[in-house]
Amino acid sequence: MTNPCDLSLTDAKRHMADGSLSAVDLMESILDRMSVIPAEYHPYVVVRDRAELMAEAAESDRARAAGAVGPLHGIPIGIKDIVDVCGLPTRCGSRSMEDCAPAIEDAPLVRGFKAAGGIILGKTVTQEFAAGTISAPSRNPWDLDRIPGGRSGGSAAAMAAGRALRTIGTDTGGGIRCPASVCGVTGLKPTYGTVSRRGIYPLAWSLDTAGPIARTVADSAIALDTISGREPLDPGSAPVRHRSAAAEIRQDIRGLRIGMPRLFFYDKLEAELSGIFDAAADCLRELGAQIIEADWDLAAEARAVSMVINRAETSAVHDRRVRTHPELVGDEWRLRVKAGLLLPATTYLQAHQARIVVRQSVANYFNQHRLDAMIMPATAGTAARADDPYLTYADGTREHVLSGYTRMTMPTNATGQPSISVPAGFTSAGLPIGMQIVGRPFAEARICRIGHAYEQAARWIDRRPALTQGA
Amino acid sequence: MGNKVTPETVKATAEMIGLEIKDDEVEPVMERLQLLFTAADQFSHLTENSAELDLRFNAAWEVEQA
Repeated sequence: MTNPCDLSLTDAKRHMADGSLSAVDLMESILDRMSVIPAEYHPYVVVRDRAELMAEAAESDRARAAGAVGPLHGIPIGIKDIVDVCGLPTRCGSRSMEDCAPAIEDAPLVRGFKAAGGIILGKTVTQEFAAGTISAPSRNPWDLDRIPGGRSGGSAAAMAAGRALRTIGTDTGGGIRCPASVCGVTGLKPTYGTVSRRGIYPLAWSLDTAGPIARTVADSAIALDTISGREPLDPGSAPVRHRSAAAEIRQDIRGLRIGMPRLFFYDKLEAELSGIFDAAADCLRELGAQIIEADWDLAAEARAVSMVINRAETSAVHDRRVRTHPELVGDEWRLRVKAGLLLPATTYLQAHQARIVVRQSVANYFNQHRLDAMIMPATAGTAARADDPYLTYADGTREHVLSGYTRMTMPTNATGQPSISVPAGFTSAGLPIGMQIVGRPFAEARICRIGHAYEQAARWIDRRPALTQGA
Repeated sequence: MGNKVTPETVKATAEMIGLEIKDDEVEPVMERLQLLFTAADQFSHLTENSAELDLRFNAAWEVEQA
């Protein structure tokens, strides 16, 4: 059997069900894997005490023997450090939160994991207050000189290196999908309002979502199902009946209609990537899907809307902090919040006005072409070097990763649609890149079906970073 | 729109809302604010006729369509 920490969640569940793997063995394997990345690049800010974790794993095995088995039974889970876990501080990657008290209760999504039998390993690195794309000090397991992306970079890096069987990230402008793309794992941003935001430090309240980062699409769907649902204490929680994200996963994709907009999404890409995404589209065609090459003409406006709302709401959340303790926040964060504070209220309101038009336009796009989903790159480039965080495009121009990574993802934060990033290939330098599959609101099951079919045909998920070989 | 941000407008606006901007922050704050105004320019053509906006529209078009 593969080293247990390299198993997908689905395979680990299967091995535990047939008795060939125990929760104790799995936990031990993951804790042993912790040492493969140097401490200074660690994707965790805190890992819970080994003895406590092993005791919980042993208890999980005893419960299984007694017949109590949840959908995540005995599965070790990493939680991004902006989400409350009872007994642990939520430091949000900021010096201004260093002295914060431990959380006194679990966020609802953490409760969901625990109720499903999951074991919380610890807290993963986030960029300060979940804003940005570098996620220092964590590094990319495919190349430790490179960044894991952000904002949930620690979560994605931990997944890629086998130091959790699933992790949780948040996505306001691409925080789940960007790091998943450049770390070669799967990241699922659900429809806005699907997962409760209660107990999660806000970045921009009308855009914030939380969702799983996992090895495979099936793992992501199982994980999402344990944390989605109506939460009366979250005003953004959607008043709809949530469908299981795994509902269609075993169905083929013959006859499904998938839009492929090139305008805006293919304007600037690193060399090699256009060919990789064309090959991914060909693979979907071979699986029986119809690829409809048609542009969504307000994609650029959707991204602009998202950016203005993101910065204005972020600055409103952190106004007081930046005024009273500017020395306790990072330079980039401080400058970003101050710029947002100078933005006129009318500009923010106009962004919300334009957001209505943008949402209507993507609804029209889906309806006009009778689409089940649309596909596009998850990021415009692969993992950038930590000492030069820029993407260099095929035309020779360069762009900082902050805008380069999120350009592809921000449009669907404005529209609120679900989107999953799945590994779509590797460049000749051996760096992974993800493809986004975007669906209609609350149609997570459909995008997981498409993602699963593609993943099983393409098998990019079988590749592992060299540093995990023999570890 | 077409707002052009200058060091003077950054300083004046910050003063108006009581926000301290140090001398070495003026330039980088100006650059970040300019990005936001450029973004606002990009969607300004969508906000010209607010009377036609259906404020009841929400992200649930899948549900509405089903």
